[in-house]
Amino acid sequence: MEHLAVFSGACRHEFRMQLHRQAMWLTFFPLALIIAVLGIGTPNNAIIALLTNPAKKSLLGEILDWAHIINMVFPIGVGIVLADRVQRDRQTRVEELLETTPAQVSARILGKYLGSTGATLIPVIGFYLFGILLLALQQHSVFALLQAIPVFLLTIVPGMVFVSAFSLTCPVFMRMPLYWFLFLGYWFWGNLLPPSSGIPSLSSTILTPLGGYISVGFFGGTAYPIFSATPLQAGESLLLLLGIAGLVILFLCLFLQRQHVRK
Amino acid sequence: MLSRFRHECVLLGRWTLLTPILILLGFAFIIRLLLFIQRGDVVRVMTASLEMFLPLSVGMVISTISTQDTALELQLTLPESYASTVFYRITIVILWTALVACVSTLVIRALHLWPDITQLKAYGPPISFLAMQLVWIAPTLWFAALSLFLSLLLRSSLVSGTLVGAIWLIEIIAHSLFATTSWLRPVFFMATTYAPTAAFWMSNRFELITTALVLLLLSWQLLHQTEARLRSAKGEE
Repeated sequence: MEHLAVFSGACRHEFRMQLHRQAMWLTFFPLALIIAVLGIGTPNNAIIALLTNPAKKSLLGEILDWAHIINMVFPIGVGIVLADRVQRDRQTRVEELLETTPAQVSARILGKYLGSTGATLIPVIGFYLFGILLLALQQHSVFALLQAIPVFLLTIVPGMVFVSAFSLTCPVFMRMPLYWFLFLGYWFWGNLLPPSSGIPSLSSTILTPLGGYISVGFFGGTAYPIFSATPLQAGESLLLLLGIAGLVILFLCLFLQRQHVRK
Repeated sequence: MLSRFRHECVLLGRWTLLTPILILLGFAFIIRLLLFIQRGDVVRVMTASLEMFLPLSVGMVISTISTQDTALELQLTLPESYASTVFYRITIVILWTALVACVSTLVIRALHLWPDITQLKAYGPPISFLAMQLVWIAPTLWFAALSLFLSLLLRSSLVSGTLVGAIWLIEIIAHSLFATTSWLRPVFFMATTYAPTAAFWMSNRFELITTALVLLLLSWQLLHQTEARLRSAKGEE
């Protein structure tokens, strides 16, 4: 019960702290603005096509395309914004203070992970719903929100959870600029590199937080570079992303617990 | 002067100075792998290392060093302006990257892996060699200036790093859009990787450099805002 209390307290505190963090909103607002400017100022691109629907796609198809656009760019914001959360406790000496309390490290870290990730998803949800509202108006359909919820939960959330697990863990072992660079390099190589480039890559495998296999397998859409997938592959991709995220957080908890014991 | 230079290099840290070398060595390994498995566009990958990844690393480093100085209050009391200290530091980073990039250019040329840039064919050897350096100079200066400007304007290395990274990624995702839209070409930093035969290549390079110089000028002004510098304290982002 004590661990549960520590976990829920840490989760609530980290959620509120992240929500009030100016840097997070300063990151996502310009990001959304850049996407909006590119969408409005350039003809015939994906966002204009989404809003005008010249190919007469179904509402679900358009929602999947919108989720895919968000999944391509916003994880960068999520990953970098969360990268300093564990390190910050060390820099501000809060970690030493927390180590004097009886609260278990794993409960604190899990609360930090879920709380800060949840708060960081708030601006993503806001921008996603903004696009869903436009699609609902374009297609004159009130069912847009009902379809948007499972798409968000299954195609966007697993990738964000995957990215945030690594963003909390990796900076413990390396400097921040190096992590940012490696993360951006991975995001390009592991998710966006075209299979036609000839370079071996994870971008067309089930281990892509971009959610291509989940989007295509569960909902029947298309999410470049994935064009076909079965529901089984979608399920495997989902479980793999969540499972690896869980293992990474478990590793972080064990590592920090060991450091705490050694002190 | 030498002791100042040595001190600033120590402050930057060996990892900052090793970064461009490690990036290019990493790509050399990737090229070797691609040549072994006989797949992939080796020339494009080599160009990408100089035009995409090297400038990104410079941007990431500069967004960190421009806002985080543990001796900021002390620096602001010194006769030499803090603005000149920051510019001295970023000059070291850029010049070191430039040295590494120049050597890499010579090696890439010797291995015949240099991209075929149509607009450079009109020039003879000494001028074309100098013009070739525009492949990495323009995007490196642009990313350095953009990172510095955003870090100072938004008073956060984290926000600056994220926005620079996002711009980098968005241009990769929408590279064809940037290449075919006239008002986006001045900020299209990957013209050599994705459009080496384009008629706008040379003008694109000079537009990137001009934009960089304007951003550096604005950054110089921002560095003189002492109160704003003091408010961007580490750990409060």
